[in-house]
Amino acid sequence: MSNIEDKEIFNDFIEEALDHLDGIEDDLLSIEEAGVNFNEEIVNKVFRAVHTIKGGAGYLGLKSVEELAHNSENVMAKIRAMELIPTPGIISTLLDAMDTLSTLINRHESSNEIDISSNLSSLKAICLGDAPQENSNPENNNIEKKTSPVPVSSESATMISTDDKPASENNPVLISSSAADLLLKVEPSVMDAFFEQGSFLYVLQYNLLNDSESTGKDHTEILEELKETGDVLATNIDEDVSVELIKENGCPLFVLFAAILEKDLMENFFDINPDQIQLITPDDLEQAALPPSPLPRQAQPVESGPDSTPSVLTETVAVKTMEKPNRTPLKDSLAKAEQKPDNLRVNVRLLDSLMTLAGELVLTRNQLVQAVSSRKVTGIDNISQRLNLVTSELQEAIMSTRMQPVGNVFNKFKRIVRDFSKNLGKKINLIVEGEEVELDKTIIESIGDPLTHLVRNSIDHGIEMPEERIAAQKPETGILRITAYHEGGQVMIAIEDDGAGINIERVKEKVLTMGLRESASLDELSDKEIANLIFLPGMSTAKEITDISGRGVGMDVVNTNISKVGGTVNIDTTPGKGSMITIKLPLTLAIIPSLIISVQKERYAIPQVNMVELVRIPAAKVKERIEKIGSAIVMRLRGELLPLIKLTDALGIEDRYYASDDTGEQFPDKRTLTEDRRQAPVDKIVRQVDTESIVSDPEKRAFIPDRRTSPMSAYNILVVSVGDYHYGLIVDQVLDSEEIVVKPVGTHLRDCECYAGASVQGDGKVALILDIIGISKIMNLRTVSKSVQEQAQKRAESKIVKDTQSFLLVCNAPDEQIAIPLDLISRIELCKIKDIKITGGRKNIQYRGGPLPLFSLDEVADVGSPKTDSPTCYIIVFSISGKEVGIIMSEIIDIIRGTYIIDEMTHKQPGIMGSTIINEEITLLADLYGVIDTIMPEWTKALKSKIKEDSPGNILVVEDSPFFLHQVVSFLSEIGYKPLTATDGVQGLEVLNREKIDIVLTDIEMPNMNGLEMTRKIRADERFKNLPIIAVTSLAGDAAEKEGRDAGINDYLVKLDREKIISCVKKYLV
Amino acid sequence: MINIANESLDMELALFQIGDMLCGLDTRHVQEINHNFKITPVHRAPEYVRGVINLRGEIVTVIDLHQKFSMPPSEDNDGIQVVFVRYENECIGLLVDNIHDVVSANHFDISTPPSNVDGISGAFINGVYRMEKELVIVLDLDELLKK
Repeated sequence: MSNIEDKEIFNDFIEEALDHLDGIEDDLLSIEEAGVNFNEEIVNKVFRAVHTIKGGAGYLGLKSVEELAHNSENVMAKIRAMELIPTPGIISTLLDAMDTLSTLINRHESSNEIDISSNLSSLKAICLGDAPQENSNPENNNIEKKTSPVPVSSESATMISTDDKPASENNPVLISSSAADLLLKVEPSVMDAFFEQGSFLYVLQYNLLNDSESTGKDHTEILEELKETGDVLATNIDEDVSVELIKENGCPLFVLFAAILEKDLMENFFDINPDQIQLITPDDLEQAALPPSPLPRQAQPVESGPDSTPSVLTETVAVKTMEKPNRTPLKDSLAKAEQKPDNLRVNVRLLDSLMTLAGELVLTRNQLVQAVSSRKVTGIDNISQRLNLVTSELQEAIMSTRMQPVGNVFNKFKRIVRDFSKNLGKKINLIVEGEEVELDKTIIESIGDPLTHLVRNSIDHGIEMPEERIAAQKPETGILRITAYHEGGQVMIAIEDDGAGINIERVKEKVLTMGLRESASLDELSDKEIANLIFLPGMSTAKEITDISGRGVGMDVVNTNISKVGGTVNIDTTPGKGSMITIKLPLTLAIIPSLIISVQKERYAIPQVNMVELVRIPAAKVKERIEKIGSAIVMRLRGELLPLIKLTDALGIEDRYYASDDTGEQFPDKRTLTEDRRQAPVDKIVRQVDTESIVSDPEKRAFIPDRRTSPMSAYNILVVSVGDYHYGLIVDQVLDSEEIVVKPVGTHLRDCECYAGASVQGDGKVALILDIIGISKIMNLRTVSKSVQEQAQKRAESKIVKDTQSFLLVCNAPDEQIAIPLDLISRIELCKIKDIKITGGRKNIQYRGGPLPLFSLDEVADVGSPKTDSPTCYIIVFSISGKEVGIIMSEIIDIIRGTYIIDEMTHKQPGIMGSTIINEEITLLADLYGVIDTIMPEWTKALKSKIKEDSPGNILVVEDSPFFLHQVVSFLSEIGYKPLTATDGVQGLEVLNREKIDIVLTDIEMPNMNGLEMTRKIRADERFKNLPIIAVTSLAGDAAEKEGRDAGINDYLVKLDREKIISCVKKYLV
Repeated sequence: MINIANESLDMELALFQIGDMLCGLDTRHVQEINHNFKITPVHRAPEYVRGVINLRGEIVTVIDLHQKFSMPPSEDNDGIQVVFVRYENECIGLLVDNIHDVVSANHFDISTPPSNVDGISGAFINGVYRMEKELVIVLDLDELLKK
């Protein structure tokens, strides 16, 4: 234990030492890489670093640290002196020592109790030339051989044994000094005198036979040399004994030597191996004094030694083994380790600029105070401008102090890759790019573990064994590439390997056996989506659990940890080629984009990373869309049930009042439960707009109508998603999106799970930041994996797929619902009515640099005209003959998807295709083509140009819905074709066999035989191998389209897209 | 923190009213006293937490001493006076009813708390300072803010 109380010095030392150690690891690895041709400068750097640590530790009384550093230094010194070649084995030992060193330093308070003997012994072994791996120093082998003939070897063992030496039978360290004891006769008092002077006492052993050959010195010369530096107290061979006699006997020379040199210096100084030096401490002397030693004369090979000492040996060994258990095991004490001070190193230049800015700020303040106190308005503009400038600069500078290069994290991967690849016997080349990319300190700290995990995964599961790689015709050495770069204001980190990639089938298998997904739902997923399933809890595809990874925990933890700092993880994998994991991270955590919402007049912020979409359920729809299951509220969202949480419930706020936006008045809120509302009469004349799927994207947000005239009636739902949680949050109002500065809350509020922090709003008030995970925990929400499972099951049950159509429901006048096929619409714009100009009798609006012609349904059909009293209207943009045109609509009601029976008769008129019942209301089906055709016949001329009489071409239209069948047939007939029809695949095939058909237009979803099956049958027939088959269907997904093309469909077209269908038919028939 | 016996003879006490009690706090702990704050309520927080306020960029937890002393919470939101104290490197606001004065108190005049003080649990009291006319309850900040 240290007796230095000053914590500051300690902290400084620790910080500096850890800093050094950080660098050392890197340097050692580069030394290893360079091998024999290592850069001397780097070795020196490591040497100096270790030396500094040793010095500091010595001063602070950290004995273990000092000793370990000291021994490492010795090895480094040998490398520096070219006596040792830095083999991987040696470097490994050094790296281990550095690891232990940093553990010791981190736990400096109990460092002296940590067992470092294994590190010490391997370091010492290296110093002795006993390199752990292939021996780099040929001399060392000789030493062992040389020492073996010496009669006094291990069995006579040590009496004067130094404590730090491991007792090992074949280790030359054990060259007995008991033999010397027999031979060297010294008065204890003499030795004591030397101890008092602070000298060290050594027993030096020279094997004269060999040593004198190699060094060319005989024993007299050796003694001469020694005497120059210290005092020779005794030897076993007198100086006058002839060299020849010694050679005959092959006997060693023992010298009892006193000097002020430390042991390692002795080695260097006298060019003698450490195993030939034994340090004698006063304690040793006491022990040695116990057995009465016989006093032989000279140059006698030892005989009596072996008998006299064994008892002592066993004693010392026993003592040693007793000591060991008392030492604190490393792991236990790690837990007790004191947290090291959280400091940050800041570039002095940056600090200087901060000082300058602070000075500027003070000056500006003075100016401002002066101006205000003297009521001088002139110049105040300048001051405010300056203040603005200084503040932003100051903010930027301060933020940059928190930024650190990702290299800090990347650097440790060199070591990890090296160690693990070696462990696993894989060959891996690590390429690191973009180390200079900077991230906030907090993020840097929290991505270390997830990244390490991913790197380990790549090494363990990704990159194959060299043999496998060769078999797969890949280079033996795998490449692991870690890259960091900026993209779109975020930092991307990619971990890429050229290994085996993720085995999609195995992931599927695993997902199924774990019961995480139903097989039906898996089939709908793309390979990429399946690869991303490994982030589900409990997934690990490793065949067997290895030391490094594959414990079945991991990827989900990676995902959770990354999303905690607002990042996302994504996997791209190609079987056999490798995989790439991309992590997207925000630059800083301190400022995050978020959405400001309010409940009960209180404002809260929700980080935008957690947002999926905003859904507003109008009063009229609450009844259908929101349901109660037991006490839980759920919402129907695109056919799925989304759990809903009322923010007021989550926060425990009473629904006391709501605030009217217009008056700011507070009204007592009568609604308490959903049921009440569902029975309430739908009395609203103005229909609420349901803006489905308005994503948190500023461009699209323009669509959100400011329609809060009756907040009582509508539900604002934020669909949020974090990790495994996915739910809707009911709030009173959605206010704005803002970049907020995140601030921590006080200790008293740390236990509140529902808040992630706080931020100060523009008006100086505090808005708390909601914690999406915390809220779901409070409300006892299950994780999504479970509910998805249920949903998948449901979907499987209702597998009877019908031909569905998507419509946009709009209206101009009340009680008049109009549906427009969604697939035909390019986009929807919100515009101000006053921007609509009438030129040349035609309405148009300036849009994207050109006029956009506008029409309205009432120009051709007998329907209500768009309202003029509201300031805004919607423009449904679609294209016809390559032109973009817009239809004006007052309101957008909803987007619906379903199977509808369409009545072509009752409401048929120009601009109206027919009618159907949607949401229990008669809905007119707008005919966009018809509108344009009626008003601007010349625009559609190109489409109507009749085909030449002589080449009609026979068209077969297969379609089960009479409405769509009629539509297609009618517009094909209009331009001169005479299509044949069939209502399902079976009929279609019949017609095909009967008549000569040049092209087939078919629906996909049909009874009896669907379009795909029919296509397959047609293709199977040799006659129809080249018959063009065009699918005319509702918008299909990419997967369905791929399936269709695989079956043999030539083209995919959208139902009711007259223009495309005609041009396509023409194309194939020419 | 407040260990009277070991301090110099005089200590400065900031006096304020909580309910009908006159309380004092060692000024060394007091950072500032301010008023006119809009307090943002924090739901699901401990009962004694009134909310948070923004004190020049720092989010400060405001603690209602009424609640701590098991008195009915103070209703008046406009005339709020907040004593800001430093506690374990954090700024915490104490909601009080009225700010009085700062007095210099000789520690001989501060006696150990009587065990039967009304309405206040003895743990929060460090001592009672005897002024000429009134008694001042010297609060123990550590106990008061301990979680």
